[in-house]
Amino acid sequence: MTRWFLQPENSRRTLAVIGAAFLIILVTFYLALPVAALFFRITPELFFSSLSDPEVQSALRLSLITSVISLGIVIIVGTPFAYFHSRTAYPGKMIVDTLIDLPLVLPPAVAGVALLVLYGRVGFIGRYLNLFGITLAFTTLAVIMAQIFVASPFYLRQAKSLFEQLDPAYEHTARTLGASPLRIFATITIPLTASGLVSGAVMTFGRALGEFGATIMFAGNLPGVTQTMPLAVYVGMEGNFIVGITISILLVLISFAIMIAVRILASREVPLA
Amino acid sequence: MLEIDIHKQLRDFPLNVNFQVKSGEILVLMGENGSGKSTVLNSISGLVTPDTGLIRLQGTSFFNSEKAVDKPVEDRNIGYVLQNPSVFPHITVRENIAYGLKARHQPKDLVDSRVNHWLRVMDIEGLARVKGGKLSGGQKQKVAFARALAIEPGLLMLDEPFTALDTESRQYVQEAVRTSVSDLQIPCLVVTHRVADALGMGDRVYILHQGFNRWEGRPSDIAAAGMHLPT
Repeated sequence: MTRWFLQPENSRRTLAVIGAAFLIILVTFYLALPVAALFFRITPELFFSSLSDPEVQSALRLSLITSVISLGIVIIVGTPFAYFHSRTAYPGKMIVDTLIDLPLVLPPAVAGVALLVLYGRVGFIGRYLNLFGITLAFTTLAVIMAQIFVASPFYLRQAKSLFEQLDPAYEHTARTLGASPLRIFATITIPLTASGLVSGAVMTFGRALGEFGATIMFAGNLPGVTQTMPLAVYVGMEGNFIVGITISILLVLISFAIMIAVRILASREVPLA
Repeated sequence: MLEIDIHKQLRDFPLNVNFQVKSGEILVLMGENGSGKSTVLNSISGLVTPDTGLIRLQGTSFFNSEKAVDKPVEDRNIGYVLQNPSVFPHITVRENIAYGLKARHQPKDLVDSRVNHWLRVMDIEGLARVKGGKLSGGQKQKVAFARALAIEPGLLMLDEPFTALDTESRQYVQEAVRTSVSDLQIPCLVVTHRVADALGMGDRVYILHQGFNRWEGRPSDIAAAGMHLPT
């Protein structure tokens, strides 16, 4: 009997193909099967009828509104921040760089607790805000704050690296042509990085939409006020199972839409250095 | 007239340059890589600040270390064609050429007529609606010339501007640049490492070596002076 490694070239190649196919199928099914199972758990009729469930509707509305606001704030503050951060050397830049990435590795529940310790009713800042009758924790605003904390790195990292990679010759040329820094930012820098910025924004939106841990800690789980879709899924699984599945399916569909959007945008040519 | 007398400590040696370029004159700046040529151009454009010295165009100070004058880049009105032509890839050739004029808030009629003029001069009328990113290297350089000249600059500076052009286009563009410099009566500074370019369009040559002036004279005298330059 010949050993496998002494076998002719052809059969060794066959073995490699079989092995590769097995691994590809294994990984694909591991990731796809649970998601597919969601869709088979309830009938389409049941799915569509529970879409009009007030619990589903209020969670969907709250999630979309808060995620859009979070994204807007991240873009408005994050774009100029990332620009200045990537173009200027300042003391402590390394620390800021690390802090930007921190929420990516920090467990979201910890982020929520941290926000609560700072802004909660008896928190370091929260107790003073409380004197003026301002409450942050367990409000819709807290949902947005939690989402921004957890989701902003996706946009900031992307924007930072795009601005670092953009060939400075474009901006230099625009300056010699007499354009003001603001005009250059609007007509050269942003358009040349736009597709990358949008894909960063889409990822941020997706992360904000899926936020669970920090939200439940810092904002709680009040229907209509702080109960976003992921929280409603959690509640649904303990009570109205169909509602939980319906919202889960909605989140899967939105996630797919986001990934397709990022794929399309990422395939666009970015004129860099 | 452009007057420059600057000093700047570079990493390996101090840069000391002192020369004038008359209106309508083309001065060719030569020297090996890292001899300080680009620093000279960038100091004049304002992208780099010299340590000390003076830069003046038609009597107006761009830079004067004694009087603490350092005019912002965007106010110097220089037509600068960089080695990498940096044609804005996301807008059309027409919009590229109009960019400087629009930044100066020129009326639309003037913008259109200037853009049409330079499209014609550079022989790129057929490319007017093409996006900058779709051009070949030679086409980009022509667009960069048209864009730099369309603002009717007070000074024209070209940094290795002919590298992507074939012989025929090179002659054509050099002639167009010479005519424009003479028509606009502006000083022109060209950085190149090709002796042929210096002979082809320069009125005077200034050779830099490790930050100081090694030779200055007429292009036709380069060989006689025993200057060994990379070709």
